[in-house]
Amino acid sequence: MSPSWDRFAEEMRLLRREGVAPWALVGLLLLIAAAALNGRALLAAQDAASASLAAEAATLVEALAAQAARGVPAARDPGSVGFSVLTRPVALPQATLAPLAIGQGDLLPARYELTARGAHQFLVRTELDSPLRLSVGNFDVAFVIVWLLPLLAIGLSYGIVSAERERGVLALAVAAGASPVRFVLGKWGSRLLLVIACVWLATLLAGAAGGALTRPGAWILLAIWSLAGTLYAMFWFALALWVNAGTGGSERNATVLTGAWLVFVILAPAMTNLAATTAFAAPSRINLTTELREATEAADREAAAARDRYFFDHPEMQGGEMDKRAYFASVARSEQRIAGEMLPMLLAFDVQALRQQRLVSLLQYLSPGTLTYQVLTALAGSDGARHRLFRTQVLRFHEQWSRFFVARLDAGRDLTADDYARLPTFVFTEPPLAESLRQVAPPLLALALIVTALFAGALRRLRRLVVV
Amino acid sequence: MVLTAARKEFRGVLRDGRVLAGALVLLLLAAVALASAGARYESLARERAVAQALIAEQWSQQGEKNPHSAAHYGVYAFRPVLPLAFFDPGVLPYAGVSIWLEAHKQNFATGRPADDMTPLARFGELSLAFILQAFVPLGVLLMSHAAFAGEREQGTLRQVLASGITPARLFIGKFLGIGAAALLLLAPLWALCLLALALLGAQAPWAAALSLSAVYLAYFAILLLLALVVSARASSSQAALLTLLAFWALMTFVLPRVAADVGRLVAPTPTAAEFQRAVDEDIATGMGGEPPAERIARRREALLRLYKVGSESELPINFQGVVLAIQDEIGNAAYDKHFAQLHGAINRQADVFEAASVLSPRMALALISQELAGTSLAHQRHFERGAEVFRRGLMELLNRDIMLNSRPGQTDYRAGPELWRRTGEYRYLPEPLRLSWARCAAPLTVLALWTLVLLIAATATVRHLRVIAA
Repeated sequence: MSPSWDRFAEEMRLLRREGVAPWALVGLLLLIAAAALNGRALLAAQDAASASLAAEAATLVEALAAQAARGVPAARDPGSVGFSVLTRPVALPQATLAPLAIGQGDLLPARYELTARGAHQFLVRTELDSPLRLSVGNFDVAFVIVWLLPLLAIGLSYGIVSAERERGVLALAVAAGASPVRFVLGKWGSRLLLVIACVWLATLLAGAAGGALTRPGAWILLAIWSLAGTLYAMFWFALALWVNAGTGGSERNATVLTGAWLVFVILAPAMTNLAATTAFAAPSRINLTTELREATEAADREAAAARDRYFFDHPEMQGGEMDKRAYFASVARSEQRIAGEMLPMLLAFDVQALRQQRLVSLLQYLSPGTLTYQVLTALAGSDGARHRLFRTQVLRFHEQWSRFFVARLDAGRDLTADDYARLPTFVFTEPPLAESLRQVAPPLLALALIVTALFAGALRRLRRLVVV
Repeated sequence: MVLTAARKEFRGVLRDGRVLAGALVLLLLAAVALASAGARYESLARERAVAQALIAEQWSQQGEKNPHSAAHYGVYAFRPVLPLAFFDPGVLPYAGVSIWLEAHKQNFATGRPADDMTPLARFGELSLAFILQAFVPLGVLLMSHAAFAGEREQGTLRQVLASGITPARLFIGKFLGIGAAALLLLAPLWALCLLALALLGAQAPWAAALSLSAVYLAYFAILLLLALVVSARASSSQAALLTLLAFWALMTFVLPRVAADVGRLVAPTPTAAEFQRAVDEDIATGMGGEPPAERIARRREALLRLYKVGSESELPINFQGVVLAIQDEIGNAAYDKHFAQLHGAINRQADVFEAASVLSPRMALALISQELAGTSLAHQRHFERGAEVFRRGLMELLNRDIMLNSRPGQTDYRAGPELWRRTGEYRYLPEPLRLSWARCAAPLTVLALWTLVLLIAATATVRHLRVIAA
């Protein structure tokens, strides 16, 4: 057995005797598994809803195709089908690690129901959820890692030197000829290794509980996830070592480290959010509402004028209704007009969101907690970027979907059974894995640098270690 | 003797530089939170007032049109910004701010402010309530964890008790001393909040603000009591500190999330699509009873019999107005049913949260704070219910106008500004404070239970107070 292994084994024996520590580690593993299962349950409900919508839409398309083949007018009319009968549900597939970090996943829409009407019709809809639950936040693996892992690290390391000094063990060890720095580092390293092993095991457990192991790219993503967790745990251990290298007692160290937790995990992210939302405040949703109303009213007036023109051209129809084709052509023009006015306004929200995100990307370096959260949510596709990409792709698809019906309406062509088979389909194009890796590389590098600098500083302080 | 002990603790706390620095940081944070919330409050209040006026103007100046076209045009109800939302935003960032009140449909409130926040908002919004619920308790625990355990370790506890003071009086003295110091340190923050309220002038909700102050003080007192009991029973001040810190992290950050997610698992909400399909199905089938077409036919027959005429065109009223009213009756019943189910699920989730607050006084406090600040789920529901009552009244008025003022079969009937003026506009009036208090019964009971249990624990602790460190 090597001396290092002996030191590690001895430290594990000591930890077992501390009573609370082994339970805390087991507790962390259980919490992570429970959080992963919770994330999986939340997303499973979303998946089930999407699948049910898709099945329902497919049945409707089949029925309409059959009716069109039989010559039923309602199923052959592109205006009626496109603008009022048929909806095309499109859903964002779950990212590989989505169950591990819900992030914005329960706030931003991952599903839309498209018609040939303007995109503003579906873009403003939101999902149903309890505002109380949303305001509290999710219990997911990212929460356990970012909030609770540091508390475990603090619990295991706040007295790494001070407690030994207070009990007189450090003085005894030095008197027995041990180097105080080696003694402290042995103890510190053993505990750190245990926590790192726990992080990797917990990630594997979370991957299995979240049902992620068999998904594409899972192992690479889980490895990077574990790396982020490892660097984050190392940060807290390095900070504890740095604090312990001073002359303060265990109680003071625990207070200082808890204060650091409060600053890095609670305060800095909250201040960063406040700075980003203040500097780049989102456009007003209220203004959006009033603008939409004005645009709708103007379009309605235009449609009324078109109706008058129609009856002027078709005096034989006076007192009756416009024929359906003319009516839907007028609806299509109205929708186009409203969408033309509303889409730039809706996209302005995305522009501000991107600006906010850029500022967050800068300010994230103020807190290892923010850095880690950003990495974890980026890996899980729940940081908002994946949802924005989904929306962009949906908007492109909607143009195609809308054009399909409007072109037939304008050309005066009826829908055939073959047309139903040729309906555009939406497939979400996943961003390449390399893009996620590029996104998380700078924060991971920053975490590594912070850990290295902190560890170097702690080592320098340890050289002047007070033993008694 | 009690006062002497209290004075000693009071001076001890105020002499600690760390405590003063912590209080200063807290005050700065509170000032930042207050300034940003105040600025946001002012701009939101202005924006919503302007929007409400604009919508009212658009409605009254929509020109001549068929009342049913006007019903489809509809109006919007905007939730006004209540003054205490700057203190505790509660659930409001996650609830919609406006509702489109249109014909046939009970729409959801849309435009959640949280949709426009960064992902970091899920860490917790830096509001005054958050600071008071999360940071101040930490300060209280740090100030008091060593009150007994520290003195026992240093051997001064024995000396103090030798001076003749009973353990119970010493406990009370420490409670009063640390409590008074904490109050003094919190006084600038409190003054800041009062100043912000005073700037609101006549709109300032003083009763609610004072109620909030009382509840928060009670909460801090509970935590102080807890810290003293733990300190008196702990083997060392370090053990006391770790126990209290673990409890603080659990009750403040972990339990609320776990409870909220357990609530969702127990009572899941339907998706928006599932909700709408269920409503549409019920409307199409006449709520599973008499189909709408048959109901309309039955009403037609009844009216023809009543007026003793043979056809709709001979009726003295426009039957189209009756048809619209029947459609609305069926639609309203369907929406009532499905909104009741949705709200039932959300209420069950809230019940789980409320039940879990037995383990976390912070959760109980959060529920009370939202209620008193007017930012709770119930207040949002009250706004939505009021808007729906207005919508139904509006639709009824418009349908009646068609029924009574247009000729049977007339499709070119137009109403004008006189009718639009008669409809009025929706003005949300917040509920009186006593109703908020009534809803606080359960969380207040939780706080009372914590107080009772801690008082019993304190009594038992001082009876068997360990004087010498183990």
